[in-house]
Amino acid sequence: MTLLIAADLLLDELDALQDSPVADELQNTQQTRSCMFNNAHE
Amino acid sequence: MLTDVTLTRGAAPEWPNSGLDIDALKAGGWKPRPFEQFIVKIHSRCNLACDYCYMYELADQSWAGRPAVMSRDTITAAAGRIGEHAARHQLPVVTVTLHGGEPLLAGPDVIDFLAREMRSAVGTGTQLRLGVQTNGARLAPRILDVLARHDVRVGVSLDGDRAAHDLHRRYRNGRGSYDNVMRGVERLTASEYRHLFAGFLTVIDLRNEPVACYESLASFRPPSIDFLLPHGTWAAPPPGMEADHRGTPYADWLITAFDHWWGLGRERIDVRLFRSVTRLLLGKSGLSEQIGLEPATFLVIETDGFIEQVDSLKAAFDGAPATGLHIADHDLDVVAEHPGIVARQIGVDGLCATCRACRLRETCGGGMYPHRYRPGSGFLNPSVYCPDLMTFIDHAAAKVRADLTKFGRG
Repeated sequence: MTLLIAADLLLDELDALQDSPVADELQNTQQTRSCMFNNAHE
Repeated sequence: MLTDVTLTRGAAPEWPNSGLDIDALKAGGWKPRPFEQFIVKIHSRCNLACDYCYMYELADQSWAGRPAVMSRDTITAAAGRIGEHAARHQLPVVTVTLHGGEPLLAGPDVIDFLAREMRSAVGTGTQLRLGVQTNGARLAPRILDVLARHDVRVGVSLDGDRAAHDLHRRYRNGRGSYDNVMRGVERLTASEYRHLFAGFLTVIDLRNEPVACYESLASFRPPSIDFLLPHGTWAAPPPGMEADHRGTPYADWLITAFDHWWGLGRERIDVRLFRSVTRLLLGKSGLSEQIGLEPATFLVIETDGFIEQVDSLKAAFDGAPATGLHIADHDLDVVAEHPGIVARQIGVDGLCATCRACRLRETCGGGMYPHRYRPGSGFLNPSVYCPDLMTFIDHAAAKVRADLTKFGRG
């Protein structure tokens, strides 16, 4: 297995922690640390 | 370029209010990013008196001159501005977080009104995500019913177990809030409302054992946790980092927590800071303003309708978050050209020379913006947490590299 594939698998594993279909749309910007609700909408 | 911004109380001629050439940026092709996240301060007072609170206990004291509750007219105006902005920029998603003070003090009727106004103002082409960040001590069934009716997700501020939480999060009479918060968390995590639960925000205290802190939070199976570095600047360093301090105490705390978390594998609870640093190390985007170079696309609307930059700037100096702009008078595209907003959307160009030259700049991103403040040079400095961030990121990188090498051989 190449390191690149291993990195992708690791990213998949970590991103599975936050299971939201719209999360990616906000993942190219920073979320304010003043609140925690970025992950829960479906 | 802004022409109608009056630099308000406390806005010293420091970077970026002075020295950031926005016209040159625009001439070079830079364009402001539209706002996607709105922190709406619906109540400016709190039922708790946490001693580290940036609203009441640090440099900015503007809360005292604002109305306690956002009026219905202001709510309607705020909703109109957000809806107009989302439509103009064809935003697929906007998030609106009810905040304070303690936002639940506004009561169910105000929250119900706000949710209706937002849903009415934001068009069908944009998904509106509503949330509330609460201290959890007033999560009564009547409030939870309103939150459920409007699908308002709930983040709770909880610092760990009873001893950890009650170190700071107390009532004015000194009594800890843990018992009341637990009653609220138990209601929120019961089956009827569990789907609203978004997770915990946890301010780090070096006296709290990191693994015990993580495990006490994880026992509620939150969708997400974030560990927050306490606010501090070069003028007012964070606890444990006074002038004569040694070592990297916050890196040490984070490393202990990270190693435990990393070792849990698929049993991990999402920790926003840890997932952000790992994603950044692997070449993806960060998730939080604590770390990384992605643009910040959030703003704050205060109870009186004034538009502000991120509220944690209140830790820097009195008036630091102010823009001088108001939702009744100013389009949000005007706000997007405020120097304090622009400075956080230009990536490496918003960093000081030390950070630009740093080998970790793409991962660290200079750390959290308010933590860079130093009187005189403003926000054009490394973070007051710079040695801690470097130590923590290097450790996390070594951990990730070791696992990748192990997997890579598989």
